[in-house]
Amino acid sequence: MASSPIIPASRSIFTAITRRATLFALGALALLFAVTGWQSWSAMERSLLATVDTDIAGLVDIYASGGEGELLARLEDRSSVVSLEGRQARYMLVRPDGTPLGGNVKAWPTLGAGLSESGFLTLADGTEVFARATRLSPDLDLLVARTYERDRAALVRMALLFGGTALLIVLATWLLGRRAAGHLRQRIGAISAAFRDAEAGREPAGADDLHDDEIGELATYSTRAIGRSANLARTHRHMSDHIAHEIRTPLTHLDGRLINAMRELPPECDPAVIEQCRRDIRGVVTMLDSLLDIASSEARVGDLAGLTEVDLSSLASDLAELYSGSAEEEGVTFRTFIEPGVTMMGEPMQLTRLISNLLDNALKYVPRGGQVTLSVAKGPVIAVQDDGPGVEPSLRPLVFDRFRAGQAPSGKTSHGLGLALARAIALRHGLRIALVDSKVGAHFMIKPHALWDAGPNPGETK
Amino acid sequence: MKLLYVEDNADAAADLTALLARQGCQVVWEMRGADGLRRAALEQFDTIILDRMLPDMDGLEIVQRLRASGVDAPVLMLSALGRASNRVEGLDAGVDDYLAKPYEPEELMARLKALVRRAEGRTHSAIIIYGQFECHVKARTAFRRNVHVALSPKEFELFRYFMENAGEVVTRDMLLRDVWKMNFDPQTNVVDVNIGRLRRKLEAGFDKPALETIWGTGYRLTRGE
Repeated sequence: MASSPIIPASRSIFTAITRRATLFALGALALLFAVTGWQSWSAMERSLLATVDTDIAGLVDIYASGGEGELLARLEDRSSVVSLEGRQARYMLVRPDGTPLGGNVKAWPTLGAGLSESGFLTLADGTEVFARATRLSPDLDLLVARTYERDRAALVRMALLFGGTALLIVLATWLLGRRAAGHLRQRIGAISAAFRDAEAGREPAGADDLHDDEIGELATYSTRAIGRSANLARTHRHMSDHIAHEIRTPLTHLDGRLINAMRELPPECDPAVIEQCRRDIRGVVTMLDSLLDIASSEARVGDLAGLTEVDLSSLASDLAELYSGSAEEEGVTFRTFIEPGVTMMGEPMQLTRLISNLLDNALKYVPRGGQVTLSVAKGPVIAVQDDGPGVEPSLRPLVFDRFRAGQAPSGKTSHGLGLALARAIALRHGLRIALVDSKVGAHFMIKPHALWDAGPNPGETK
Repeated sequence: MKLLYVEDNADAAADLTALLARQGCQVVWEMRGADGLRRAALEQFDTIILDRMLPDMDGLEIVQRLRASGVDAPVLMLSALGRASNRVEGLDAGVDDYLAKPYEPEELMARLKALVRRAEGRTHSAIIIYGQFECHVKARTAFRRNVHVALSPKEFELFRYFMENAGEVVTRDMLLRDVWKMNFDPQTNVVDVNIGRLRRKLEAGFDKPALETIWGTGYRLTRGE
């Protein structure tokens, strides 16, 4: 496996899923606990109500058949009875004015006998009961109650058992989720690390996930894709190096022979032809390098390896200083508008070459007395504008193509690769170069894709 | 000057060995990278000239292994890989200079001499004097025969570079690399123009030239006398 994941656990999607699953389990169990508790309490209440009502029905029959005396005797008998559920019977027989006649309850509670009210209540002696009051006759009220301590104790035991089990389930869910999340983070992290290594230009360790599941499949395809990409880059590089080597080496020999020929040339012979041959050799080499540089930059679009923070303002200022002499020599006014502190991620040498190619291009085409302006602003936005002959409308879409050299007024020739290389370097840095509309001359502007998308320029040609 | 030259191409090796011999250098040639490494460890050389693409080993790896084994002789990489990115890779790997093929013989010699001077650790005092010229490094002022020459900051950097390499050929690539920190040739006359401006300032009011142009290679500061 590659290096451990960079995304901290606090930001991991798997941690979030685990957290949500745990909270869901906690909520679901709490709801289940509440519903079950309410159902159990209701069942107990219904059972107590049925017991009390059955008891009252029997006592009503006794009163109807035996009168008040018989009723009091039976109440006395039943007061000591404890049911199988552990419920104790409590009674009170009173006159409507509150005069007690019998029973094991000392004071009448707040239940209305006239309305035959029932409910849970606490008697004067502190005993908690479920009771119903009823009016047996206009001068006789009866209270029948049952204690329910054992019912309640059973419910509490059940609640504790349920709650404990629920907590264990939640804890187990969290622990298992956490472990699974950690495992998944490692597996996904290995795939990310392989991509990260490849992007940073390091040899990717490979996401060697052997699991036969979705992530294993993702790792397999990722490893293959990274491998193919790395192999392609390697092959491209080797091919470029070999092309350069196999062309430069014989040219070097040829150049050496020309040097020897010049050395042995009789004094009366003009060495101009040989010198021109040597210049041609250098021209071929320069063209080859430019083509390889273009290919290399295009192959590395989106590749962040090797990019560092570049002070674009400082870089442009140094170039401006270098080119100001050339401009003056050519009789061209060279102006700069460089905003301080403009930085970007890039390869300093490549960015230097990008601006330098644009300045070379401008100075080549602007006639004596003309003007060239270099500007750099935050964004970054780089522009090189001149008041030269500009680019013919029919050639504007082709201006960044390879081997598209215009006719410079000075008669200077080139391979027509400078702008193609500028475009390739811009793309490699996530920038887009365009020849934008201007009243006079040529106006090249470079800025990030997002800035172009935010405000497309009508003159954009690429 | 005793040089170790590691190059797999016999023709190229013969050409360069002959050139260096004409310049009075003693050249030891090795064809394979491993043999070059072994030879560099056994003997003392003033400079090592290293090809980059060798059949048994990459030149960059050889440099790294040389440095790791404590061999501190300056290394000039002479390579058919001459793009700016190749040069940056070479310099990052620890080579002291990088020259692309095909090269001017004078440029190669200038670079070798510069490397040897640097390796000998010649340090310059606060005032460098050569012929009629004086360079006051700390004060950043230039004089010719006690007459102050007003230079811009970059012109002074150029002048100072010539004074530090007084009497030796300074190539365009050396100037681009060391004065302008550029590893590629802008393909325009920017170096020549800046040299021209410096030359005009150094020669104003004097009969003798201050800088001479070495065709196809670079420039040399004269004594001005």
